[in-house]
Formats: sequence, structure tokens, C-alpha cells
Amino acid sequence: MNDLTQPEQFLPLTEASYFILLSLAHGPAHGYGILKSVQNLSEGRITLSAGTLYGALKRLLEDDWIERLESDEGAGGRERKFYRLTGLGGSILSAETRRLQALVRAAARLPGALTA
Amino acid sequence: MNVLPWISRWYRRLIRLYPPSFQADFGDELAWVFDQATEEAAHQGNSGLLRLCLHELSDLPWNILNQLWRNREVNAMLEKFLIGGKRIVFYIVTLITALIFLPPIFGARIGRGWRLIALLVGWFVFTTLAWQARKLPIKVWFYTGLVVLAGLFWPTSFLIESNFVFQDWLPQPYLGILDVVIFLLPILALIIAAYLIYAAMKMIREQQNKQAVQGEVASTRAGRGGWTLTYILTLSILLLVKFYHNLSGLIMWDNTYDPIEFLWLFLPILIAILCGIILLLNLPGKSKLAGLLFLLLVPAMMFIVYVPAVNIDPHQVTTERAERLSYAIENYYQREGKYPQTLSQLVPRDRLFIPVPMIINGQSWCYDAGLDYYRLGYVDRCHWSSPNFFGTVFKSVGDVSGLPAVCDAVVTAHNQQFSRDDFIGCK
Repeated sequence: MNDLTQPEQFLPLTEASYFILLSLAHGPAHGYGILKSVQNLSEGRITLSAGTLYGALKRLLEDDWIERLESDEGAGGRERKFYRLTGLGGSILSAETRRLQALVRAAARLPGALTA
Repeated sequence: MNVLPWISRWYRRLIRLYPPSFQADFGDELAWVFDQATEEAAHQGNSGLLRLCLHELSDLPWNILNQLWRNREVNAMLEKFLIGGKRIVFYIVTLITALIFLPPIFGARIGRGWRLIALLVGWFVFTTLAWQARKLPIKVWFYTGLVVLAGLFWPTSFLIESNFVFQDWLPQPYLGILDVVIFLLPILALIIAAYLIYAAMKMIREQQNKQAVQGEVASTRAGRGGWTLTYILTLSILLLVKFYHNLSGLIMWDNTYDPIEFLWLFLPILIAILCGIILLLNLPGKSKLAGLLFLLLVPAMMFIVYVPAVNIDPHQVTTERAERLSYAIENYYQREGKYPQTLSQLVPRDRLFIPVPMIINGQSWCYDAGLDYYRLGYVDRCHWSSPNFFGTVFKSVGDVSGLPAVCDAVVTAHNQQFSRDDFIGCK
């Protein structure tokens, strides 16, 4: 059973996991939506392949960080499945964001760290 | 020519390489997302399409292997045999090390057939328990560690040969059990030290994460955690230091009777490797280094301790100890104006404890004293294999004429039972 009060135990996240969770922060999204969102949020630095995306989604589902919603019918009559953050996933995302902010704050205190 | 349907068809074929459960859960979605991506890439021309396909193909082998590794059915099957995930690596390495180290420990006793099978099954059960034991709460390891540390202060000189004339204070089978306890306690200390290091590394990691997330509030709380960490690491170091001290003692005492020499190292080295592998596989990130250091340094230190211990001369050690004791006796005489009637009178003012001679396990000094004389000696033999004993006087002060020979009663009792005139060797 995952301990909701201790999201720090799951940190640090991989970049891909962080961006996937981040792309779901504003609401549910389907696989292709997540793929594009990760690309946009990372300013094109991270382009997930479909295989990598679904490998990560499967792991996040198994860990209860995200959940899969009922399907809807997309273009061409194909089923699209949506994913959204769970409570645990949300608190992990917040914890990781705070951790990264703390790192940036620490670097900002040393001017050389940003110009080196 | 529109290549998109052709690419889509090939991608669906490749999806079949994923495990069935993954295909059932995500196969259609995967194909849909890929189709969407190819359609978009096609707008950028053939180069965009080619780039996308190459990207997907380059990731595919790793993704498929990853899913096969994480596959529920395969893992469930492996879990049944307790060899899931990292444990496969663990069992392979420990089995190889066991095959190298266990035969010399048990030698001809293993033989073949059921004994060998029993040994391997026993080792498998032990390693499984060791693997799972890391999950025990830190309090369990800490308090067990304290008990074991206290137990390690049991004098190594009590590791004794059964049925020996000096050991009639404790009957069989307790002597055998005592031997085993004295031998196994240092090994238990080694295991507990490893798990304390494991717990400490995990605590450090969690504290670092908490501090990064919660900032200064966490660092105040970390003060308390810091003390816990200090206790844990201190106990771990004390256990390791006492382990080496006892190992050295065991090897030295072993020299006094039919020594097995370097065989003492096999089981502790095997256990150290086992613990090192557990740390290495389970500690996160850079803290794996602690596992690697444990794996390399703990066995290396055993050799460093072993070399001087195995070369020590028990007669020389006994003489040095007798020298210190005699100095304490004379101090007592200077202060009290008489010699102590028993050596225990020297404790604690002149000596914190009375060292024992190191010729025969379980023996003590032969000491008798009057107001103005004393004799200090010990039962001696020229070699551990000799059945013939004699008394050696280390120091005699005052008029001792007319007294029986030193250690007379013990030597006579033993020689009546065991002495052999036809013994070939030193006399």
C-alpha cells in the first residue's frame, strides 16, 4: 500500500515520468495528447516514442500514480482512453516540483552556478 | 505512393512482440498513437516520417525487453520460485560464491548426494531469509545489534575443545553449543552491521529528499533523525570492529589446538559477500557505493586481521600476559605489604581483568601465595598435539622450598588419564 503522506519516498522522478505527470496536471488526457504535451512542456527536448510512453503509463498505472478513465470514441471510430492523476500522483508531482524549486533556489544563491 | 498504411501495418506486427498482457491492455492505443504521430510527421515530408520511424524503432527493442522483464505472467511465475527481478542476480551470484566457498568449509563432510542437496537447499533458504530480512524495522536490527555486541564480549578463550580436563565446569552438550555460539556471534554481527548500514543509507536518502522538498522545516526535524543516524552508524562500526577483534581472537585460540587456519575466513567472507550484494542491489543511486565498499573492504580487512593472528606464538603471548600479571602482583605487594591470596584480588585496582594463559583453551593460571612468597605458572605442553603436560613456573618470589611443583594437581590428573610415554615428538 502506498503511503500518501510520504510522497518524498518516490523521489527523484525520471524526466519522462515528471513530464507525463505534469501533462496530466490540468486534467485528463489521452495517449497522443500526453505525447504532444510532454513535447511542448519540455520545449521539444523530450520526444517520447509511443512504445516508451505506454511503457511509462503502464508503470504509473500499476503504481497508482495515474488512473485510466472510461473510453470515448475518437476520430475514425477508434476508442481513445484517457488518463488522469490520482491523489498520490498529484502529491508526488507537487513534491517533485518543490524539490526541483529548492534545487533552483540553491543554485540561484550562487550566481556562478547559472553562468558556469 | 501513400506509405502510411504500410508503416501502420508493420508497426502492428511489431506490437505483437510485446507480452500478450501488454498487447491486450495497450496494443490498440499504441497503434492509434503511432498512427496519429505518423500522420502528423507526414506533413513535414518524408524526412519527418523517417525520423519518427527511426526514433520509434530505436526505442522498440528496449521497450519490448523492458515489458517482457516486467511482464506480470513471467514475474508471477518467477515470484513463485522466489527469483523475481533483482533476486535473479542475487541468487546467481550467491550460488556461485557458495560453490566456491562452501566446499572448503565443510570439506569431506559434504560428500555427494543428499548432503550436498541439503546444503544447497539450506543455503537457498538462508539467502532468501537474508534477502527478506532487510525489510525488518530498524529498531529490530538496532536492539539485536546491541545484544550481539554485548555477546561479542564473551571471552574468545571459552571456545574450547570438549572433554578437556580444564573444562569440567560445563557438561556436554552445552560445550558444543557454546562453541557454535562463540563462532556464530561474530558472523551475526557482520550481518547486523550490514543491515544497519543499509538502514542508515536509506535514512540519509529520505532525509535528503525531505530537505529538498520541505526546506528548512525538514532540516530542523532532521536534527533528531541525525542523532538516530549517528547511533545506527556507530553501532554498525562497533559491531564491525568487535567482529574483527573476535575473529582475530578465534584464529589465535585456534592455534592452540589443531588449527584450521585460513578456513576460519571462508564463512565470514561468504557472508560479507552476501551482505555486500544485498546492499549493492537494494541501495538506491550513489549509496550503492556503500554496498560495493562493504563487498570489497570487509573481506579485505579479514585478511589483514588474519595474517598477524595466525602467525602469533601462543607461548610468547602467555609469557607477555604472565609478565603483566606479575607486575600487577608486585604492585599489590608494594601497596598492601603482602601478596594477593588469589588473582581476583588484583581486579579492578591493579588489573581490569585477569588475562588467561594461551597454551590450552579454558585453562587459568597456577597461582599460590603466602604473606611473603608467590608463584605464578601455567600448564604447558611443547606442541598442541602433545598429550604430555607439564607445569611451567613463570615467576617465583620468596621461599617456596617444600611446596609441591607448580600446577601439580592439574598436571598429575591429566597425565594419569591421557599421558603417553610412546608419544613421538617433543617432550
